[in-house]
Amino acid sequence: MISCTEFIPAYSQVFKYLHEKEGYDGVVRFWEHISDEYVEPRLGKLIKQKGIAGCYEYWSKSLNEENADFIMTLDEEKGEFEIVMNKCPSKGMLLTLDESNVYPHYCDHCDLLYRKVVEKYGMSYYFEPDKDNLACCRLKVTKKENIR
Amino acid sequence: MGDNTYLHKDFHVSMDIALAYIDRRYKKEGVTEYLNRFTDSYHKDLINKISQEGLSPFKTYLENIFKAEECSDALSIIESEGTLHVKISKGFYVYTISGYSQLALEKVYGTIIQKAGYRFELLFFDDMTGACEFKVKRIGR
Repeated sequence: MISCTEFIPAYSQVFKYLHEKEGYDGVVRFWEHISDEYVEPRLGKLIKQKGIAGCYEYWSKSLNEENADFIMTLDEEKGEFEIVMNKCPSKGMLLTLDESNVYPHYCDHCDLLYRKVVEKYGMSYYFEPDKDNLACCRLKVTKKENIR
Repeated sequence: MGDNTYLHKDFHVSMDIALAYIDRRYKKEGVTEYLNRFTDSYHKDLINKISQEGLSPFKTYLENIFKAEECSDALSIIESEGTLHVKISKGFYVYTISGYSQLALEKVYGTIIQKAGYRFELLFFDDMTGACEFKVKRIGR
């Protein structure tokens, strides 16, 4: 059995396994698959129903359940949604493990998984990954008509 | 970290999708290889601890993860003379592909136990609920 509390190292090992078999492109194909199979029916459904507010609802649930330290803001008038991640629980956990558990491009999945869904619904997606392994990152979703 | 309990059960769904993905490309052999790698990497400290201290760290590990999953009442462990008899009335999650919940149990718990120098004996597994029963004992008993 694999507990959901052990998911991050298990997921990281999936990326490592696929990278060894198929290279980085193979890992990207897997992330596209996860985006279609997991993210689209959840985040995509909420965006379809509630617009950019759907982003707030989706990440409120997942980040609180993951006990993340973050600041999330939604400005529906401006058409902007932003997460400033002070301490990503996933990256934070990986930093405590030895390198046999860590896929070096782990954080890239946060760019691809959500971008694919968000952009499908006519919004732009900006992701700034962590620097120097600090488990901090930022993502911003903007309605396209609000981009100047 | 935040102030909440770390429990995101949707991770089980993502793991299910990942195992099905590996299965489609690399069949059961690929899934087995992946589970072995995960266990060897992530559980190596637990394996070493069991090798050095006996079965008590494994018992504690099981109790802790069932507590973290908020299903402590699904776990029952009877300990006697270097043997653990474990009964699980319901798994955390049942994977979509038939047989993979059992495979995950055998390749994770079974491998931990065997690499630590003990014998893992699966007595029962219900693929519909993840309920199972197994014994862990010293080799030779």
